[in-house]
Amino acid sequence: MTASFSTWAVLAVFYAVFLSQIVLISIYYPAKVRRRVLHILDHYPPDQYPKLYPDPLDIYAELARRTRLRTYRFVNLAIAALGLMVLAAMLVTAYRPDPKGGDEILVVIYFFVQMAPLIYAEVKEFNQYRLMRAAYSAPLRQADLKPRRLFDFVSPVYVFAAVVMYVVWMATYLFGLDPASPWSAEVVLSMIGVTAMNVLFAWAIARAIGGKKPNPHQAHADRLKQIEVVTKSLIFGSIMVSFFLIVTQLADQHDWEIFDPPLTSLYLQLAAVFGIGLTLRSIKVDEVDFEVYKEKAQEQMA
Amino acid sequence: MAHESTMRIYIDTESPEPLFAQLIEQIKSAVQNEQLTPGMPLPSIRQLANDLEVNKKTVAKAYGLLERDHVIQTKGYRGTFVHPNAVANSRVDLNAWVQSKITEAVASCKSAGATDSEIRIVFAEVMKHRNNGSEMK
Repeated sequence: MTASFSTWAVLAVFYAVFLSQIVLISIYYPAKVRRRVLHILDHYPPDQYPKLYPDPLDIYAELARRTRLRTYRFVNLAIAALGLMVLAAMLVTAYRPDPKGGDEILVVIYFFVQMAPLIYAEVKEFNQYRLMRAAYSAPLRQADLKPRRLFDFVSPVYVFAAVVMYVVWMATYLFGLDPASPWSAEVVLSMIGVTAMNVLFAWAIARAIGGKKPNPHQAHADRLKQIEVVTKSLIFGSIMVSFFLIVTQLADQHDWEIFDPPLTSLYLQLAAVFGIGLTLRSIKVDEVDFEVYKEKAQEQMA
Repeated sequence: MAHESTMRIYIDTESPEPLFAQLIEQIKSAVQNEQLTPGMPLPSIRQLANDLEVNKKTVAKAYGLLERDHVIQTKGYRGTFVHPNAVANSRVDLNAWVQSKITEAVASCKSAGATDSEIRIVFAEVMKHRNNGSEMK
């Protein structure tokens, strides 16, 4: 089956979606993250909340963080400018997306460039937790005498939906295979890849629910909230991956590959919304218990 | 999702009392105070050990002894639960019972004229034979 689309319509959709990707991931979320960190630095300083700053050079830590925040902002704005320049270059050179698809690789590469500052911030956060754990020495520890289970944190409906979407993708994928050579290396790798990704998600959820908490000082209620956010974002992530793969599979079967770049961009934006967006929306900084970071706060575990 | 508050367990790593004994005492105490009722689920060994930042073997030992005393019961993959007769069973102090029995036995031996070292040697031999016997099985 073939379909023809107006080039202008395709380009309009692509430019709108790609512009949205630039704004959402390199301007909107970085600004929210920066405001959040600034709020913490302004309201919970090292002299009152020393356990929040395990860096041995605490005197300079706040200054260093503010400097890094400025760099974080600059880098994100530079990446946004790069994206706008790419869009401008496309306009100037009268870019036409390949009707057979494949141009989505540019969208994916740009997405990873956009995510680099966030990944850097995550690594710094992980290092901070590592320092907190190294400095942590509370003899009195406590734990909830109640099992934490998956459905305490996410509705069974979403888990069921994730399983169903995975099965539907598998069925769609197998149904669309070339009967002449159904089991090519690409097919096997795709099936192993998507299955492995879902197994990895399941492992990460199990680790969040039953594993050690990364931040040793974190209040119990905050930990439960964090587990809920991690669990939901991974379940939604699994649903979205399956949904995206089903849509691209159908696009391939109906010769709509020309829409692959905007579809990929849309998917990556949704991944950001359900990843970092869900975290920022669900864990409000004003609702986090910062009393646990005070010098004389009751040391507690779990 | 709502997260209701539940009973919390505390351990002191600087206490002279072993960690597994602290766990056992608090779980038995919670059963007697009806904070834990028969049939209630308990966290897995992995979860509790990770939350308390202790070795899994410590929690496994505590759970093992509580299961032996029929205070808790493990139902395969479904997890660990408070035993239906936990309230009555948690009142039984096996350590105190063993101590009273051995005190009686030592008193009998002493009244028959056995010395401390004879009692120690015989006790060690009895234990050794029992352990060898159980290994043979």
